[in-house]
Amino acid sequence: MRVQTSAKFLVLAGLSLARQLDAGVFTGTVVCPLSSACAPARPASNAAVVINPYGIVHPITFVPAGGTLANVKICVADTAGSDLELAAQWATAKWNALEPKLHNCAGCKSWEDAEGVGAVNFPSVLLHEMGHCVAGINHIYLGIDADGNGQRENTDYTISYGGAVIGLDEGADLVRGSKDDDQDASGGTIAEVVNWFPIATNDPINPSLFTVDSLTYSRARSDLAGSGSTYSASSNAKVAALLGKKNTQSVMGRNSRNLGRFDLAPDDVSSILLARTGLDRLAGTSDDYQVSWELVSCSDPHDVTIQHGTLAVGTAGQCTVSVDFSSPNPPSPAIANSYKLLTGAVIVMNTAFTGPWEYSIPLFYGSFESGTYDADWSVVE
Amino acid sequence: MSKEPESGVKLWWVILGAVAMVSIPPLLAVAAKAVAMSTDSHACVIEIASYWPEEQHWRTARVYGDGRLEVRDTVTKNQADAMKQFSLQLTAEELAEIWSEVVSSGLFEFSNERAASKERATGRARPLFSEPAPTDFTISSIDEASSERAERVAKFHLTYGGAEHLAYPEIAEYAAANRLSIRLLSAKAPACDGCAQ
Repeated sequence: MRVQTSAKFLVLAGLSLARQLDAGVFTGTVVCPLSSACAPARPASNAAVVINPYGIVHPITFVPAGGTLANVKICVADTAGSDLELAAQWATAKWNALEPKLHNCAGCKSWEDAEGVGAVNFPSVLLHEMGHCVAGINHIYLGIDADGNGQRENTDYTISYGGAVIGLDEGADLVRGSKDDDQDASGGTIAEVVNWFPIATNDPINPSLFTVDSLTYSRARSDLAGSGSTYSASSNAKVAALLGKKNTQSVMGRNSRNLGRFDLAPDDVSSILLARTGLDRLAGTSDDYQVSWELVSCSDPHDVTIQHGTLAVGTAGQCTVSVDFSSPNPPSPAIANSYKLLTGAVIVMNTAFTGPWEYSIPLFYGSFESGTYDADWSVVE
Repeated sequence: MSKEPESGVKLWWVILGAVAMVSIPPLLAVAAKAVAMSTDSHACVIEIASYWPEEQHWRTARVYGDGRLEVRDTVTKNQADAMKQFSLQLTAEELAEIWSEVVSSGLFEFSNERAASKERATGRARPLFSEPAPTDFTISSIDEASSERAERVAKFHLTYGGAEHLAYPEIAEYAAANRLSIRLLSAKAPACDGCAQ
């Protein structure tokens, strides 16, 4: 497989006056049913839900006291040695190892790169879906109603909450998702920063050399100025190239053709580490927690099921999971800032996906071993 | 009094799930519980448009009254922006089967409010779906209750991530929507499509 040449795919700025009511939080998005009354607004994608942009989502076995949590138990509904089981074993090991790697993907594309031809790597997609269902991490990118038809299209801009389409501005570097972006409309519409950024650098690509917690990471606009930023930067492939680390992108970025993710990116790991500081969001305190993921038989009690199934034909995989809005911070979801995933999550890898799928575990890449990280890599089959 | 369709016009009738293709005797057009599908070659009887999150485009499938299936990929939902399109002909049996499922599953009369009510009745909260694939369904039929032979258009929008049928397997409309969208949107172009151009 070869890396495809990048090209702008969507031109968004200024196309519509429609309000963007997407939301999401790196390290956990809270999307709650309307009946739960969590504020402040509904996303354009689904009028039946409202969103609290302040929440961090914790894993299924989370307890407020912290410590070593019970393992999150994952079953694979397929035969031993199947492609699904092998991919699940590989992805589980990656999330358990929690090792941040630069140049973690070959062929990774941000959303506004044109899609190429070729297969979609099955293990890479499963790694992404497990980030949702097991780790509670959301996408990194902003979905927006570019053409004003009531539906969102995904973009390279950093995920945010409550801004306006007309307010999107990529800044002087012409890279969407970078630290000089703006998302506020001149009419006063403010796009809320929901993507945690390292205060000192606002660099989501290069590994942080400091402890990850709410003293070093922030969503506050007032913390952007120190790094000379106007907006929280996204861990997408274009921003990575801008920052000198080509072939780096969060696992929670786009699933695309000719993509091989073979490790977590630094931003994936910092998201997990931030959540693991517990309710006080401070590292080194008693409520910090550790948790491992464990593959078990589907005949044993389990929290997450990974299975084949039929989904919409354009969707590679899907995580379906519920969030506990009453715990651990009752009683009001609108003001709570910590939630947890509920047992019974399901990851479906789509057998109706027009793909085609490509099942090999991404291991070795041309130019990687020689250290030419910034070359356009190709997967060595 | 109903005005009958033109004598001899073939309509697909679905009565409580049973399918029959008949030449319409004029007065049978008032049959209760029946949903007639136009056989006009220009009448789009089913349209499904779904966003493909992995490929950043829309795919729209349209079934016409004569069984023609058109599939079109577009950057936006504007059909004039077609990047790729093809058509193929469904057999009479395939068309009858599709229409039967649309009607018997309740998809023809789908409403988001009713579906939400059914979701609430399960007692299970709506879970989060990670990769939404918003899908619009538009289904048209002959309205035999009208004094004029007018088309009644059942149009609904599913904020459908393509996985609701898994979260709520007891809601038949979701399962039918999933089956129908996969069947029509995954249609393959004929091997020689476009080769004569």
